[in-house]
Amino acid sequence: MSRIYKIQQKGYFHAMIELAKTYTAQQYEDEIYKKWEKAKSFEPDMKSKKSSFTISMPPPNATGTLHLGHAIMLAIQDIMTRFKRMQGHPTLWLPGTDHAAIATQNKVEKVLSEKGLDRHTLGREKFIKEVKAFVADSQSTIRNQIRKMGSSCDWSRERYTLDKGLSQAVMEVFERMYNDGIIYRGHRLVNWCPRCGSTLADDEVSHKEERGKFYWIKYGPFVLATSRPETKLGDTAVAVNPKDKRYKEFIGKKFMIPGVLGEFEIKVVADESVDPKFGSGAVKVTPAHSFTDYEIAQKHKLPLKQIIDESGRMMKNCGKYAGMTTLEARSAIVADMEKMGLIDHIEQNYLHNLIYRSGKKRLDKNTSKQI
Amino acid sequence: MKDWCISRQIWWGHRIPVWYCQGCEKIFVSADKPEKCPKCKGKKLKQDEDTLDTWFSSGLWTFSTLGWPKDTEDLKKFHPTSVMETGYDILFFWIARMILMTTYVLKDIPFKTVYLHGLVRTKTGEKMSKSKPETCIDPLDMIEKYGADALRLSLIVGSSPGNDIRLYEEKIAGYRNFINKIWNSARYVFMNIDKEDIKATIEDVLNSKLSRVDKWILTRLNEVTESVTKKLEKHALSDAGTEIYDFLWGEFCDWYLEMSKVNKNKKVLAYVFKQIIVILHPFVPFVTEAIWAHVDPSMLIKKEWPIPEKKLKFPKEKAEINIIKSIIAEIRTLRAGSNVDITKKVDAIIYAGKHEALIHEKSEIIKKLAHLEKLDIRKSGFKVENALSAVVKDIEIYLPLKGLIDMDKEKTKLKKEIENARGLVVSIEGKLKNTGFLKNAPKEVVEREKARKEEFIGKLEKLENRLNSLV
Repeated sequence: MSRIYKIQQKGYFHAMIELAKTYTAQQYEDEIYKKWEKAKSFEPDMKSKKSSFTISMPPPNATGTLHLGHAIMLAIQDIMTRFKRMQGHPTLWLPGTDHAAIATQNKVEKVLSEKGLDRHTLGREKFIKEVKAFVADSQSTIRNQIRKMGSSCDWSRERYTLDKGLSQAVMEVFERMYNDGIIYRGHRLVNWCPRCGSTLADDEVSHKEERGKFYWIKYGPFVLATSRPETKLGDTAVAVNPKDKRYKEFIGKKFMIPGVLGEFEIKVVADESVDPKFGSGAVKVTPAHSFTDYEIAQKHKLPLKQIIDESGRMMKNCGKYAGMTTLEARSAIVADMEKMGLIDHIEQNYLHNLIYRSGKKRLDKNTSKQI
Repeated sequence: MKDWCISRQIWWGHRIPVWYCQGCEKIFVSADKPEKCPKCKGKKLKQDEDTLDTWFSSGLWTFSTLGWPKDTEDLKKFHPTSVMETGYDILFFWIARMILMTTYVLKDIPFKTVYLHGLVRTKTGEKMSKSKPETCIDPLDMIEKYGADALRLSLIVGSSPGNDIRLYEEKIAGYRNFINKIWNSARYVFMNIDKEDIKATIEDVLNSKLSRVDKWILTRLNEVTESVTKKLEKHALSDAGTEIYDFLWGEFCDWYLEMSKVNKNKKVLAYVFKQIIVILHPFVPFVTEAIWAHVDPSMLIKKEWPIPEKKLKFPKEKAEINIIKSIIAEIRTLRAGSNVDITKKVDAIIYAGKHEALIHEKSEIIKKLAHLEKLDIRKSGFKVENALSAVVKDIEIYLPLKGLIDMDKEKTKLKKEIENARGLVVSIEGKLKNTGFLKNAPKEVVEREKARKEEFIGKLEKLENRLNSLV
């Protein structure tokens, strides 16, 4: 103790007295961060001739709060950044946030629905205004949380995917790609969410296994199995594996198939993608509502017949089934097929792979005009 | 690779810059809002209702954020970026798109290195999920409770690129203890040096009277600095962090501070501690900056990273101190393994061979740190009966335990403990061979049994060593 006293008395290092007996992080961290920021310590030395070191911070979505995935990312990047900065390299860690299109829109729609509002009654402009206010709020939360981790990123260069400069960049790239013929407009099969009325990216959907029925149906000269018998209305072919001896003689031929809305014509095609062990080894092809079938159709130049609309209902070309949801149409069509003797048998408890939007709403595959 | 559908039928996002002329039905693209149709000059134009997939703008992230399409200083200086660090789950959604779009627009790569971190899981390896709030740890709560430095270490040490990491509160609390250790060692150092010592340079250190212990810690400091630098260059963050952690706690605090109490060199104390704080900074920026405020008026964040010093290599002294450390460690292990009351001082006999002079010189340190009453150092001698024994290189160590413990009773006790441990190992092994158990028991139960087996095998080995050490 005498040492502390001596130091205090001489007046040097009186700061040392502040080295409290115990360290309480909460008393120091925010203060220190402010000091770093004030001294512009995170900004790179533009005059340095040494090689630069840069990390673009993966922009957190401007919707929520910081989670551990962000925390680990910030810890790793900050260590890399501080090390390079201390080595004397002009170092830039550039922070930012992402507008997270569909994730943000859904979140704001949810908030609105709690107030009894929806985006259609608000209209596009007012809705965007709501989203902007929400985003501004989240962004300031996130900025504060990034600071809390001690992240030494250069806030003077912070960006946002929807800021003016970045929007300009997006438009410019779009225009270039369009002029180069890389961007085109055409009919494509997409993950369609009937609730949001939009296509979804592959990362926005999840797959789930579920037990259900597997229908073995009489199909002209074939018996084949399907989990979605209602799509029979959109069939344009039957596909078999080229190595499957059972169906060799059928390949390339056309058949008339009896159906609940009368007879229709299909062509038999051979495709490597068909698993001879799936069902009877012959599969019906509905190009407008299945990714695999769509690919088969592209390869064999088969026609597309869309029968389900963007809200998940049967279209006008489905006769008496028009307007039904796919599930309603399924039971109606199966009942009618049974009456016509077109059902061979129904397997119960079959394991299906279904596709959902973030574990919630069941999705359909649909074709739509897309850019 | 398939074509990428970039349009979305939602409102929030970049609206597609496709325009439809209401007059002549011309469809055209324009980055800026057009005034009139390029074909019929009509002014009735309608913009496409759709917006772009969110990954379109993220695909441009590395260069659009630096000012592109303008030809900025930043773009020239900082692109391509050095490291892209993100979770492995978005490798294809994002990383691949950045590469494609950047090479298309700039004819250049977006980044030189990709570093992917894993998922953060619970203690038992479960995925943390919002739908199960009890599995989630909120980083902000943890910062509030333990500080950001402790949270950072708990996420970094023990994790390697691409592998998932387990996080739980006790782990963060454990690193908070390390933060306290840093603070306490700073207090110790500051209390044991004079004002001018804190400025100690390498010249000051080399001009001071250096003991063997000083030369050993300086050599180790230099080695650790060099190794940590190399690890950080390779982005081996966990290894680098572990090495400084072990050096501060295991070598500087547990050995150097203790061994140097006998003969303090304040310059070395200050110099070594300062450099540890510098190389710790990237990992635990707050506590190190707080301590640095008492070292130097300039901030630690901009302090230059140390480079290894040739002048600080003392291989002879390092080897000698390692021998002393090993002797002390062996005596401690022998004592601990024999249930000798920790407060009780014991006697030791060392047959030192060619190291006699060295061990004589450091006998006070050995006595102090190994808690000895009497230390008898000889060049060589007969094997000591009724004593615990150990060997370090060609040095023999004996702890005569007569009077301290009852040898026969100790042997009987040990044999019984060995029998028990063996029985347990056999029974767990039986369980783990049982296919019914393996099939039906939850995975974590099986894992726990496996860990228990390892634990008892280790224990068994220790007990057998103890029995063998009773000469």
